[in-house]
Amino acid sequence: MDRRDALTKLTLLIGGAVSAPTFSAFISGCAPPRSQGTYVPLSLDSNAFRLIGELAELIIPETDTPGALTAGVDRYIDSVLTDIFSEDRRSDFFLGMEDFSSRAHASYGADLREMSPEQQRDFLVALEYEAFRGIPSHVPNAASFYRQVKELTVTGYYTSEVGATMELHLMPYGKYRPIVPLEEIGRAWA
Amino acid sequence: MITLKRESYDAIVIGSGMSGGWAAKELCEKGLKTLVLERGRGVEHGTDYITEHKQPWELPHRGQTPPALAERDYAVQKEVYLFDESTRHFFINDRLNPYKQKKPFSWIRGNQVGGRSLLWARQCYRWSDLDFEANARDGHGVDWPIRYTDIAPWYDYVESFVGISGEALGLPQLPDGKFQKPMEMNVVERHLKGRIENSFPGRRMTIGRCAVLTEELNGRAPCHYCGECERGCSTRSYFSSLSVTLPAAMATGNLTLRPHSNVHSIIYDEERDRATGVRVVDYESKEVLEFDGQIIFMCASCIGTTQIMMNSKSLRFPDGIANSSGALGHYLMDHHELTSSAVIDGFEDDYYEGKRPNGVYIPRFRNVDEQSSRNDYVRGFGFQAGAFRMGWGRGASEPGFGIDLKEKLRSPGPWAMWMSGFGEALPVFENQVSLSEERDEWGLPIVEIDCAYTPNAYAMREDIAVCIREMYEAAGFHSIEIGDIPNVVPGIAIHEMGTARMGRDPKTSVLNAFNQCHDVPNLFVTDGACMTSSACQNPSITYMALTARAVDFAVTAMKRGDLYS
Repeated sequence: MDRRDALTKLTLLIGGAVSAPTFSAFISGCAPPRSQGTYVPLSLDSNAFRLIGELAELIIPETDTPGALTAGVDRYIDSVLTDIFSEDRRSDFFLGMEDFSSRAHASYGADLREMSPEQQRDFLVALEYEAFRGIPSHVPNAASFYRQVKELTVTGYYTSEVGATMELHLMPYGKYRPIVPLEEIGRAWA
Repeated sequence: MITLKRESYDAIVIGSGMSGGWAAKELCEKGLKTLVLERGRGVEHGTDYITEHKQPWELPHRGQTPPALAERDYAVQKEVYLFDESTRHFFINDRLNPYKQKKPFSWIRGNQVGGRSLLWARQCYRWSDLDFEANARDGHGVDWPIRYTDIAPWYDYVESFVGISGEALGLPQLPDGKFQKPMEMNVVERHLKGRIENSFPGRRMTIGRCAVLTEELNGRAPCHYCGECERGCSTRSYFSSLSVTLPAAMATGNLTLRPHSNVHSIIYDEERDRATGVRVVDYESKEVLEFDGQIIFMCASCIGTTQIMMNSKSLRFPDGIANSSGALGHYLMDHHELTSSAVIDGFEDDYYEGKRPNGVYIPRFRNVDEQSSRNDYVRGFGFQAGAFRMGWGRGASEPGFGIDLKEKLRSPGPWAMWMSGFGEALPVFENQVSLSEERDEWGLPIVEIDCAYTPNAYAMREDIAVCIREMYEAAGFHSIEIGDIPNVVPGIAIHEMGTARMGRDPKTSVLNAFNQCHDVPNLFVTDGACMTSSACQNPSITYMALTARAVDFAVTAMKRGDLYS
């Protein structure tokens, strides 16, 4: 682990709640929230854009607070693909997406959105297992695609206004209290 | 077509960062008409803090710089921990301002009024005689021409104006300063402090001593804990030259600040045997201008100052002004840093509120006395650290999705800690800055840096790793990850220093005990270039104290008529 890896790792661990003198970097992203007009995806075609939105919403669904779609995570992912990803990463992403769709059809004879909630769950559980516990594949596949979308969904959601203010708590300015009962705050800082 | 304009000043300061801001303030307050030349763009306090208090969703890429842009324009700057979309505008464009690396050296640079004082980590630690006597004691480098008693009143002086929060410890190796009330440790930091101090006699842990106010000072507000100092602070709660020293200089009516002034060289008058002015290439128009000054202060950063001095050639000084010793450009140093992280179970009911812009500090405990002396390396290191609860970011790298994932991330994760050792580097002749044959678009010779750590640093790093591990383990941390011991690039600690060092002997050093060039009495160097050794403490507060001290000496000498006798 070199210094940069160490810091990247730390930044990942820290998420938004930073107390160090220095670590304030966020990992990724952009895109206006869903409420702001029609969005024309730049890197994803309409089918792919819809798939990404459906998958993101399965990863972070609407509960008592809005889910990934309301937070504009589909737009965020499109913008990361456009502005942040290199040509190679982008093409890996699409190769993985193809494998994701073929596997969906091979296993369930359906697209993600045509599956029953149980089938969707089983499908993602299998991909989770492969992505987080399996031997990483050297070629882009459904599991690497899933993992990528999951990372982008988490980052996109919790750095969005919805995620940071409705789901988590935005750290107020004004004072530093070194020790506060978690109960009093109730949720993680954004 | 070259046009020449001439303006005259009592004093010229080259650079507007940490040292330049102090030189400007002190010179102006002593009544000297002072010109500050800054290579970078003009920046206004407040209005140009364009990302201050912006939430992640308000930044175009939520903090990330598109890699293609980073690669093209910030190939070096992008390596530094602070570089992101919210700070990018305070870093230099590497493509337009190239330098050469004979061996890898990450030269991190600002390019605006305020320089890197806008980006510093604000940690302020005094040096002690353990540091000022180090070269004399072990024979690496030449002896410092000053001791702690020479600089102590000047630490008092600058600290009282900067505003430093911290805790007095009474340690001989880390003298106490003029402190505002300290910031406080969170629950895991308190736990670690207890375990370290119980398990390892001689080791202490304290809250960072930092140039962020906890109490009002001269109209500056105490910190509001937004935690993003490097984006700029409109309440002036943290210290920068832009928000504190330059305004003080401006208030005297004696300051002229000129951005876009790329200094080409110091003008030396052979007959009078003095520096008489400065030659500037306007950064935008490329117009050549000259300014006359009675006293010149070099505060352009260690390597920047060295570049200008080396490019100031004359019959008397064919290898750069004030370089009869041949030491100019040599003995480049930067601290070597070793980073780590670890996780601890428990403390789950405790949290914190506010982003404290400061960590904790473990002062040097190796080679401080007989008992702590090592036979595998000389000098020492200190640690900066901090504990925090993991946030939502952990969700990206752990299994889980759906309601379960959302529920999990609604609460903070386990407590984790980062800890970084900062080790002293030795002054070595071979580690050097030189001018290449190639010139940049302003006609200045491009700098070439040739620098590597010595075996002493690598032996020290082995021990730093041992110390990190044993302290984490004593406190019950697990999942300990420690950075790369052999693989460390100088420059990235952003504490470069030593290339126009102070010393007692004009044959082996560039500057005397008052940062005055041995060879040219009206030329002073008070940035990192002046440092005779590197110690292991963050150096800015020492640059500030040396600068204020040197101005006091220079103006007294000038008024007595000594500088031109």
